[in-house]
Amino acid sequence: MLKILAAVAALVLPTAVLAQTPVPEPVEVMILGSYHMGNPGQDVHNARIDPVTTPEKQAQLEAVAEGLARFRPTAVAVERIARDQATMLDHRYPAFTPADLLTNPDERVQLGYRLAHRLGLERVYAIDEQDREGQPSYFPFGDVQSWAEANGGGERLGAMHGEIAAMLADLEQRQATETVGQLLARTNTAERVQWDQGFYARLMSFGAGDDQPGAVLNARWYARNAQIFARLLQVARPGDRIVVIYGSGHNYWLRQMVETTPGFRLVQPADYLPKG
Amino acid sequence: MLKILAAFAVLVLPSAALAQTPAEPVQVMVLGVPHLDNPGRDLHNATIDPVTTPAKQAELARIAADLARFRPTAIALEKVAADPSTMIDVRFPDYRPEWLLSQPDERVQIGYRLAALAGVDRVYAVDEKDREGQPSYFPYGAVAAWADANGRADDLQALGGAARDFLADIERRQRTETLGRLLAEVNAPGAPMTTDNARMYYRFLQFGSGDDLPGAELNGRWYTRNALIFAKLMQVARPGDRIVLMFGAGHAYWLRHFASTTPGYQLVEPTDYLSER
Repeated sequence: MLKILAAVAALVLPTAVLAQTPVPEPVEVMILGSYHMGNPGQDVHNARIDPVTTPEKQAQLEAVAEGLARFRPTAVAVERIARDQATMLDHRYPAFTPADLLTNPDERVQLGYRLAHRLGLERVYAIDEQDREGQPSYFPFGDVQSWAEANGGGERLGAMHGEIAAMLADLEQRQATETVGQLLARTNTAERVQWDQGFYARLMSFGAGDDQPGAVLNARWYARNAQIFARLLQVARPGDRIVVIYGSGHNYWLRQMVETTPGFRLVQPADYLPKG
Repeated sequence: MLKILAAFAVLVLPSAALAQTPAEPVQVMVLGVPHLDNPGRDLHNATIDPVTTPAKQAELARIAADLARFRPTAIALEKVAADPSTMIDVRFPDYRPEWLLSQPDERVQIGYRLAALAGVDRVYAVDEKDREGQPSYFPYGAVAAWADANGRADDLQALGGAARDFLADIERRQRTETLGRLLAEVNAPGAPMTTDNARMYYRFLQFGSGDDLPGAELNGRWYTRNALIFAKLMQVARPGDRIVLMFGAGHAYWLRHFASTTPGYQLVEPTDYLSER
């Protein structure tokens, strides 16, 4: 009898194992694109953001954290390079105390650390990728600018600079009348994300023949985001709910990668940001 | 500086917005094809039966007649241009219909055949290939080496399973179904090559650890090749053009992405023109 059972088991097992292996719970990821609150001035264009350490802005940032907490995040990931690439843990977070919120305007602290601390999370990851010694830049904008100037495209590129500057001027103006939550919601609308993507796509037209600096810039920007997302994959666990806080220019690709990767599900920040 | 730029923007924006509204969008039909001449260049390859037989020739003629209804104004093919300043396919001007009986290459069988039928003289070579002294566009060796060294070789092998199944299915069905029908299926929205192929490339991102990420590198380089291909198409496109962009089916996902998300461009579905479903 035992032998027969064993033989039957041998036949049945493969499908039984398949049937019993639970489908891993999906990883839910909210990509929250932010403006740089600490005025680091690291981008081609930068908005001048009013201090966020004032009582009024702090109350607004608390409301943002309260809204995002409803997503019940299990981990937070920010735009920083982890010192320890084996764990990807953000080496700065363990030293964080709420007092930092009154002195450090950086959005990684104001949004990321604030949220993680409120929820008692220890899993705060630093998943960024930046230019490396001896390798091509991830943002070779100088090549695009020089090509445009040398090939009669200066005016066309200038107009595109103008579009960005106008958008940033609009943000600068709105921060006087709108809350941080409202500004973040505006930064993360589908229309805005599509516009960002269109901007990078339009840059592809700067080039001729085999010399295509605009397409190279577009592709290097993609490649950096793939490297960032690959780090998120390393730290994500089945059933996780992760809030990723990044410069809003990363929105399109990080969202697309979440949506396209099996086992991952994209969560819209608009569903959690405070309305007022 | 920002303030100066912002003031400048207010002045420039209205006319810039006008300038950006092209008179007519460029319509791009992305046609993904299996390589009909079995070059065996890809990671996974289907073995295609000879297409120079009378039966297959009749099927290919029907494909060309179907696609001609799109009234293409230009055709762009998977070939590196001899002269990048024009991107012109230098071989097409010599094309003779007799080639169809001896050259199984899909660029001849579908591309040139369609161009001749539709009276198109703008045939472009817009491919981008590895260049001397620059990293490969498909650094699969580094992914395989990482997988071997980290006990993940079986996972990597399994990753190709879906692609192999798909190609085996094509191989079987070419005996009983027409090339037009297979082409329609390969290019249908939601089909493996138009949609799931991206998922396969994103699965590569798992191959790597820490900041040694060969899978992400491969994913990024594959995107890069396709971005450079589409940018070449942008160099030759004229407002109002209707372009058939024909490439190996593995390119379909990214080329469709560019055609559907680049301002001034519109993606055209080949399945709206192929008559066999």
